[in-house]
Amino acid sequence: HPHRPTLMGVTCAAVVGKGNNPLYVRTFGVSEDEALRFHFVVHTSLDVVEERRVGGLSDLYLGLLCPTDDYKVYGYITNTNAKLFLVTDDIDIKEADIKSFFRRFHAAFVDFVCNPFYSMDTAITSASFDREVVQLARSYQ
Amino acid sequence: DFSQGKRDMSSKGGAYAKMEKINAELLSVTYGTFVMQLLKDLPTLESVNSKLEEIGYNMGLRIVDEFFAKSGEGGCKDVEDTAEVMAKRGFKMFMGFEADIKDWAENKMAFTIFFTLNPFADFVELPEGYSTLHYSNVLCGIIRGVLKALNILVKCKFIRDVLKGDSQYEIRVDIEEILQDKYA
Repeated sequence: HPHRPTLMGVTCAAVVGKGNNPLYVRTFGVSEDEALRFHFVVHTSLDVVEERRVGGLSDLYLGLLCPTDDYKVYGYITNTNAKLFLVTDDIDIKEADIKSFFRRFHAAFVDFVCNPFYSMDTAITSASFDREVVQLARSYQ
Repeated sequence: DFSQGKRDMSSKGGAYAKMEKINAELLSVTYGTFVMQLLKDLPTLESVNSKLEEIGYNMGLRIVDEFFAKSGEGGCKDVEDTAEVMAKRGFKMFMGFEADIKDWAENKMAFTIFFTLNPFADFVELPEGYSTLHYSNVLCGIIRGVLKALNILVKCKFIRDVLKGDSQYEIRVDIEEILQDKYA
């Protein structure tokens, strides 16, 4: 199948709750079937997150978690143990861009969580959060 | 600033500056959690709307004295003046921004108060099925309470709501009666 180019390198952005339950998995430029694969990619990255954390990290940014054949997965953990993931196939992506993506993704998540209608640790179905993440991903062109 | 002879509609310093400030997010989160609790406890969205209004009414009755104490305002000469002072100076003092008035009825017995900011509703996204909820209805109650303390009996309702996709918030105020014992 032809691999369509992604929106500037961001192939997938995900939020996983503290119980390691996926709350939000957003893919860009991939088919339905491929999208499912990213759930798996994010899930396997969780193990690496655990390993990195054992060392007592002070930084929220966890760095490159695992390079698979086609993608690189970067991780970020919030102080309340929510995990943010960025999957990219862009080999030239700069670390400064990754860090700034996570900062902004984190900020969007923090604002979203203040919605009183959102039950903590449940699936994120908000259209406006989704729009913001899409816009965020688009800005890394 | 009590030395001013004439009423100064500008909002630099003055009453707003004298108020103690709290973090606006604390207000948003507190109010939001409170609305969620009412949604759990009460049977219908309409009953939540009523309860929010009732609570706002009790708040409004009380804050009028605070407003007059801190703002240095004297009595207003008529209903139009009262509405303007409430929207500009009252809102500024308590909410941090000025609201505005428009659409006066011919007989001056109704008007619309409108504003774009609303700290009660920051971060809120109404889910499906909540279109009849007036999330910020406490404000309607506050306005009703404030005007009641000034012997003006009104009914208020939201006619435009940013949470429902409108570009600004609009509350329609219908004056039912102006009681004659208004202080001079």
